Amino acid sequence: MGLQSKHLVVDSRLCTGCGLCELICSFTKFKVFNPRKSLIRINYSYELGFLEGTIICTQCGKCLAACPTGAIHIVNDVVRIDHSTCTGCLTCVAVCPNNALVVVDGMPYKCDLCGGNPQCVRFCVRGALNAS
Amino acid sequence: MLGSALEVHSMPLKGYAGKVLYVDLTKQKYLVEELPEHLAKSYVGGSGLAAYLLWNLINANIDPLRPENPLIIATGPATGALAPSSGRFAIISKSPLTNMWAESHSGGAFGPQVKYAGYDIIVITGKASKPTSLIVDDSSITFHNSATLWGLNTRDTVNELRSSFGKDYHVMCIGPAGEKLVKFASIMVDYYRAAGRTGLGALMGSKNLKAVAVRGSRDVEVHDPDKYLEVIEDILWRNTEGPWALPAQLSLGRYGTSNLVTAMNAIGRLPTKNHWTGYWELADRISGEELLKYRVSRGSCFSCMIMCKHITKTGDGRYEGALSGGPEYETIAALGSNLLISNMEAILYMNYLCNLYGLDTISTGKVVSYVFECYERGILSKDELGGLNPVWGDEESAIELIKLIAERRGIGDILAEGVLRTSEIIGRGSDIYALHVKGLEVSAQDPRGHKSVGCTWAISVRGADHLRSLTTVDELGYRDIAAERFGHDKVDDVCDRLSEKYKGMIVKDQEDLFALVDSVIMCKYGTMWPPMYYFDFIAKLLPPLTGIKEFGDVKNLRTIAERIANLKRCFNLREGVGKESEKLPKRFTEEPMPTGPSKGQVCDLEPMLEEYYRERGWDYGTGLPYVETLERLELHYVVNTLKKKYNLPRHKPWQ
Repeated sequence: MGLQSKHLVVDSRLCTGCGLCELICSFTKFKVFNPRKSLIRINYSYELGFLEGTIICTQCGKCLAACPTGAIHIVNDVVRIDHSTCTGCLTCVAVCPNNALVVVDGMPYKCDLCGGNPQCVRFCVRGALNAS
Repeated sequence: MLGSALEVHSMPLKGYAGKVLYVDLTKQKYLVEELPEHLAKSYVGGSGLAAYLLWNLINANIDPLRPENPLIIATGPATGALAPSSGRFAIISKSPLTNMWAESHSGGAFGPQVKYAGYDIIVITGKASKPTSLIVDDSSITFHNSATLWGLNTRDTVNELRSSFGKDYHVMCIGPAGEKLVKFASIMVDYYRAAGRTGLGALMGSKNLKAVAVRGSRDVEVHDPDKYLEVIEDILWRNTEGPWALPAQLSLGRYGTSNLVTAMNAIGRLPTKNHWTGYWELADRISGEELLKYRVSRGSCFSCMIMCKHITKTGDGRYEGALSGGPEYETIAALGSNLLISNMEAILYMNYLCNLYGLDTISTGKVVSYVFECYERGILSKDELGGLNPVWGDEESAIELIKLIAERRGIGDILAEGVLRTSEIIGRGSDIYALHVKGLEVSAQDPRGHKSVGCTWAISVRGADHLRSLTTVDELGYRDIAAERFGHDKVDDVCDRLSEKYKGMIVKDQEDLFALVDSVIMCKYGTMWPPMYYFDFIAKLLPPLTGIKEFGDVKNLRTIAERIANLKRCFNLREGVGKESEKLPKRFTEEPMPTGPSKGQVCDLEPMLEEYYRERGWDYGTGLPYVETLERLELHYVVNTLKKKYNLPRHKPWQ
């Protein structure tokens, strides 16, 4: 799936809906706790007790192809936004098939696997999240 | 830390949302106020801050079902901020069941959403003219006409609101029991989590408030993110590494609280036959292992690594298709061994019913077992019970009684008042089978098999309760922890669950710890059992999160904890509930445990109480706080109010 070899994968059977992935993601990226700013978002059903869906970046590269200013690159097999050249046009947000990009203060953000040590994976104690 | 003292003083609070939302249902208006920094420093948040607000918002002796009685929804600084097991929140008020301090906490994800919507606390007063739900997000407050929701069970209510307003809303609501003002109605949260105790569901019903739905997208900011992460890394992994990780995962992780059925039976304090005894030969049939057969998924509350929750479903038999959260240990004991019902599917079905009606399973179980015992002893007749034949173990009668209570039909209209009031109405000497303290039905412990429980129940501000000061160090004999907290010389006595010695002391210590835990807010798992997190841990957690450096001083934290514990006790004193109510049902003090590992034991409450009062800095003789104690805790306003009602004692100068 996608252009790149490495991205987040979810084993929904193991998810308990604790949301630690969202908490640590927003904290790692923005130094605040706010699940709405997390670059991975889970939709867990408290009624039925299972993971109904996740919003994650599959590193598919559609944002890279669409970026008009060339601010999105592949670095170490991961699609990353260079915020020093990004103009905040949000074309990437519009083309993302998974709705996985998050806009904070007018700028787009996406999962970059935390430079190879994804914190959401580390905090997922049941092992529902992996990077592969 | 950066900046001068002046700058620090003017800095907005971190960790907190910084706002209190006041909602008036009568006028359909609301008001947002800043959370004053000095209140955060003095009362932390959660239960502590709510205690301060409740003290100041109402006068003594108001009818709890009057519109002016506030429903206070409280989060703490840890809520939504990645602290261990911190997805919880508190609901505080004056109790419709006990007419004194009401407090009940719930997990799920509702609490964190309140914080993300921008509020530390929501205070709801007044009474809506018609059924209403409050819809809160970070840009709006809506009073939603809920006439069509009135009468719906809790699950349908949540689903209706989420389909109307969005699936990202988290909902707390009442079912038919709360609407009908059943005095032990629960508030159900995120479907199956419950703020079960003290009848807060009736309070919502009295306000015509069907539900509160909330979602938020605001940041919870952190004072020193790097330092905070360092602390979190150090403490969070105690859930998965270190000495407590394996026991916690094998027990809570695998079975949730249901594992306690077997453990409590083994030490002879599993409530059996309306607490007649603490041991049941058939306990294996309702064990955690048995429950696993019905588990369809394992879940957790928000921000928790313990993951003790599960969803269960009955099989194909007569209770087919009953899907719900839990049951927890307390529910299995109350509706299982306590009624001699060994059919796990019947227990699951009753749990399912209670959750849908919005009934506290603990109080419900103890009211039903009171009926069973009264029937056995000829106090209640078949005619009075509408033709029921509630002999021990009869699941059909138990199920019918639950329905009668929730719908206030027949005898259920009396039972819905709770076991104390019911026994007063029925009379005929039935009061000795009404197991409660201060009007709250007893939880699933037994002071004969675990002596400190007697003290815990007696002194608890909300009545016979296992979550305000229950100690595990004696119950399970944690010698290292006993030595660390209370000194090597006391270990043998502290760790003897059948000895009353030092139990007043350890209950006071635990009550203080939980006063703080309930204000921070974290779960009892991690603080009660396993006893991983103590005052020193909270002192590490709070300063980098909040920027309040005084929270880093364990001595100060203990003072705050004492302040909160004292304030709650004084709230009850102001209501006229004092030491004369700190008694146990005679079953636990006069009837020796008839069978099982705790056979022959009774609970000798007075020595524990005397020790507790001494440790608390209260006068055992009068049951009142010493003025010096309250003044040391800067509760001068409490002294001024109580002085009008009581002759508060002072320490004699030679003591």
